[in-house]
Amino acid sequence: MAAPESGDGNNGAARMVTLISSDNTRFEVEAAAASLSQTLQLTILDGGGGGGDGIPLPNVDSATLSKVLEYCIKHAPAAANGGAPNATAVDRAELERFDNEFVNIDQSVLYSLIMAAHNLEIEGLQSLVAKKVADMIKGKSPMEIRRTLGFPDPTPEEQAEMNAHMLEYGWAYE
Amino acid sequence: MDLLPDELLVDILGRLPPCSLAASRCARKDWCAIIDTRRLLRADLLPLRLDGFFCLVDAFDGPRGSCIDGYETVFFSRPSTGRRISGHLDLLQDDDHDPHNPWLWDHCNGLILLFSGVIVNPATGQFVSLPPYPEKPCVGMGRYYKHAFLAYNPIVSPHYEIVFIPSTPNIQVNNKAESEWPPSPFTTHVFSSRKQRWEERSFVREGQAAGTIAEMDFDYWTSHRVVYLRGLLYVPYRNNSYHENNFVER
Repeated sequence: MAAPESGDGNNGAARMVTLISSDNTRFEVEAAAASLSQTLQLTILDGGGGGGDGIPLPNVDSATLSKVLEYCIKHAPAAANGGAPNATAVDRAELERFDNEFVNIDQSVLYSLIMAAHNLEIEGLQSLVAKKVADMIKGKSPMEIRRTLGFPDPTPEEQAEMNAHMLEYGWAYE
Repeated sequence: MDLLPDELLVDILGRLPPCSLAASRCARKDWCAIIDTRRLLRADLLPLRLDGFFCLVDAFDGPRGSCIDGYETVFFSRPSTGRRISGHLDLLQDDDHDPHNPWLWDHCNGLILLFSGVIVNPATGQFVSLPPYPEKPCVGMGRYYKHAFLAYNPIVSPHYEIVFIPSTPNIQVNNKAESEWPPSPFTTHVFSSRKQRWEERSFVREGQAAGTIAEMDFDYWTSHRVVYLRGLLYVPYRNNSYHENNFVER
């Protein structure tokens, strides 16, 4: 995978690392982008992932990793500026637009992203996907929540239990 | 999504406002367990909502109903909650009370005090009879009308209190017309649902008196503009110049 050209300021050309998905696809990406992952950062600081070695990610498939790296590449410049305190309003608005669009995805993909962001410890992405799921839950009744998240319809026993719980705080959301 | 580990679920649920947490708590058994064990739901932040209200209608010429002293109690509710909340207060009376006398004496945040000494929560259908009212509710004020006020806020505490407050006598037969109002110190009876008994409690007025007894004019509806807010009971007294003054109970 080709990364956009941008120097990291120290070595002229940006340092690249290779990540290997669970289905053995190799992704070449700037070290700065991959370092958004706390998990990868240590390996990269130790000089890993360069050359022909590559860092294997047995928990992340290629479709998910591709999506994760899309996020990392977009957010790397801002992260390099220490959370981008000097970023312009335009830059921030652009990132926000990207984020909104980024999580506008199928639920199975969203689930894979949640797990990958967790495993790779990418803080910004973890927040983004958790917030997305929270937004899907907000303002809904217990039954609507179940349907939105694709849970099977409750059994009669589960329904009875739900009804009992709804007596407690039901007045707050009905 | 039903495979999410607890840790990630907590991260998601922790971002929800109290209303949505309350709903999520009912959506799944395991979610309920997580929300409860991690104490994610701040029930005290849940908004109170108006599901229905009682209306006292002047029914001198109206149809016979639960009519007392010319007033009839009519219940209004939203179609979605009317099935759940019963406005039939007369059904809640026990046999010792006049079944046609479900006179609302006071109400506060969904709890109702009937004149007959019954506390009703129409939303839950629960009701309980109070111990008899004290014979002399307000100490040294035998000639005054008294009104019992409810102080109850379910999101702060499940307990309630009832406070007797005198209104000024409408016939000033005593020599106290020039006395300050409200008096200080002021001793009255308070019922605490926690202690399940009436007990005397004294209050000291903060600041100036509202005026003299002679300047006060009391009418029945004044008592329905009492507000219980943040632990304080505000009782307006209207004097002849129609200024309102607050009598604050702590």
